[in-house]
Amino acid sequence: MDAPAGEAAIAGLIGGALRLDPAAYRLALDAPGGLALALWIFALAGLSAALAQSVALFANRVRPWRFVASLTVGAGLYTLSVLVWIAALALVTTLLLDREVPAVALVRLVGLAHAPQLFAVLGFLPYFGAGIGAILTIWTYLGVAVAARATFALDLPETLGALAGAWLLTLLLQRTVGRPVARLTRWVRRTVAGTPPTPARRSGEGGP
Amino acid sequence: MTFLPDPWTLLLAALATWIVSGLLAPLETLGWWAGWFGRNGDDPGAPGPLLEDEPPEDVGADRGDGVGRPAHDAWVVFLSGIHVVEDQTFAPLERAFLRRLRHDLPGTAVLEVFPYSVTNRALTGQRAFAWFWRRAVRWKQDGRRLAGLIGFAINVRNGWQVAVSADRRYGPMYDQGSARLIERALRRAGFDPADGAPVILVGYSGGGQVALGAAPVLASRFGRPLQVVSLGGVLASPRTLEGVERVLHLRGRNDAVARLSTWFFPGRWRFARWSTWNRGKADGVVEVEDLGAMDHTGGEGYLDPDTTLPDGRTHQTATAEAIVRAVRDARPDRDPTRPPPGGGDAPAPTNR
Repeated sequence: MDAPAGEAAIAGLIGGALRLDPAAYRLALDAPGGLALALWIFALAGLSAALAQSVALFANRVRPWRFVASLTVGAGLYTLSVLVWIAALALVTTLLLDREVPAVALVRLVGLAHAPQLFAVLGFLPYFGAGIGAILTIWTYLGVAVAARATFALDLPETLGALAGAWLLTLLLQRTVGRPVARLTRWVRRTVAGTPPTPARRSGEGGP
Repeated sequence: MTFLPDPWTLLLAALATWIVSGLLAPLETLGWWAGWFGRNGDDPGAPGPLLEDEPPEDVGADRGDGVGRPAHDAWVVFLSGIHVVEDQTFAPLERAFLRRLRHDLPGTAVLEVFPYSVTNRALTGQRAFAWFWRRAVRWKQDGRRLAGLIGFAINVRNGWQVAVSADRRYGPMYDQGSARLIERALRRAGFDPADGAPVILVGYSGGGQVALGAAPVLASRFGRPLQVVSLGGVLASPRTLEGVERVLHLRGRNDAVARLSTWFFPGRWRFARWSTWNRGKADGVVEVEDLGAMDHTGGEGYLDPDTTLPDGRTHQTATAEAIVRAVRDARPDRDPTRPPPGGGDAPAPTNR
């Protein structure tokens, strides 16, 4: 993996992604450290989302060390789930749109498009936080769409088709071969938290 | 050269401070619930042990005669607005108003509870930033420069606690905590749920939201219904009105805070017919009473003893009379010839 780019370059890329600037995505494709940056964004966004949803951990009265461990596991699982979604997106783009999209390039782009999810922790805000997750998800999808148009020259219908196809494919996977994985994920969460967590929809997984 | 940050920097700093204080706001409730701090233990619903060395509360005249007659014919618990920093309000208008209530309601206990901490810690008490709040209160009381900014900081801190209470994720835990504090204050003052004296929670401003959230929990714990009086309350539509006999929302025509706050709570919007608030209004449980041209606070506010209404009564008198009426209507020994709550010589509830 290449070394991360400088702080100013990272800030520039993330700022551009938040502004939905196509140039930021074109830069990310070749920027040194772009892959590392993407993975860092996934991990931090996962941590941010896990913090926003931590009320379930408090409600189940987990101990502080288990709380921290659960957040770490949540961030890891979030990263894995986005990588699965990226794989589905690559598959759909290749098979349906007949475009050759390198998986690593896709990780770089989707990673940068996940920059708004760094603010997922704002979902923890009392009362006003509940709607923030939905706004960030739309923001992220817009980022993916801008990235797809800027780098792979997909037009709007193709972009929407690819996103919808990836979503359907991950849904299909969840309902079929993904069941044992979901059971394993639940087991990991329960074991780390030391208690059965309150069932809660995890909007942060399986895509933006 | 004077260092003056540009307005955008100041605005950004204020926004960041507001967001950070919001992110920290639920931690006290969640940490208490999880048993990380506070005296929650295994049963967060259970009241903590009552401290024998705690001084008895000055709650108003006691009419107990020791032969089975209840010590008080009603229990009023006053939950102050978001400007408060401890269980006894420092605001002169509120102090005067509570004296007035105690005077006008002989035989009724009037208690105060700090509604913005489920761990019952005053801002000036055992907290990491207690030094800051103590200094802030002194600053505000002395009316020194930037006292308004200090007041704003207190309002922001406590305002977020109101949002915690209104939040569907955190609210149920917050309600358990505030109900526990209210029960603790009541029992410390000699309250016995079995004696039949009614309990009326009077919530001023943000205290109205806390009262509305705690009332169903207390009703369930006491095994009998409660009443809530909201004075210019900043209220979300409650999650439930189970066990709440009556909600009287007193509102001034010039109270922009109470009026504008409804914008943030869709359940309070008129067309949200399915909301608990609007169903409560349709069932007659929730009543809205117009107090006249009163503001939320300060001069011309609900508690102002100087400004008068067109009928000659001061704002303080009109507000006190509305609450006294609500308490008398709630008492079991009320005159049966008196009309039911909301009727008679009281200004007609508008149910708006």
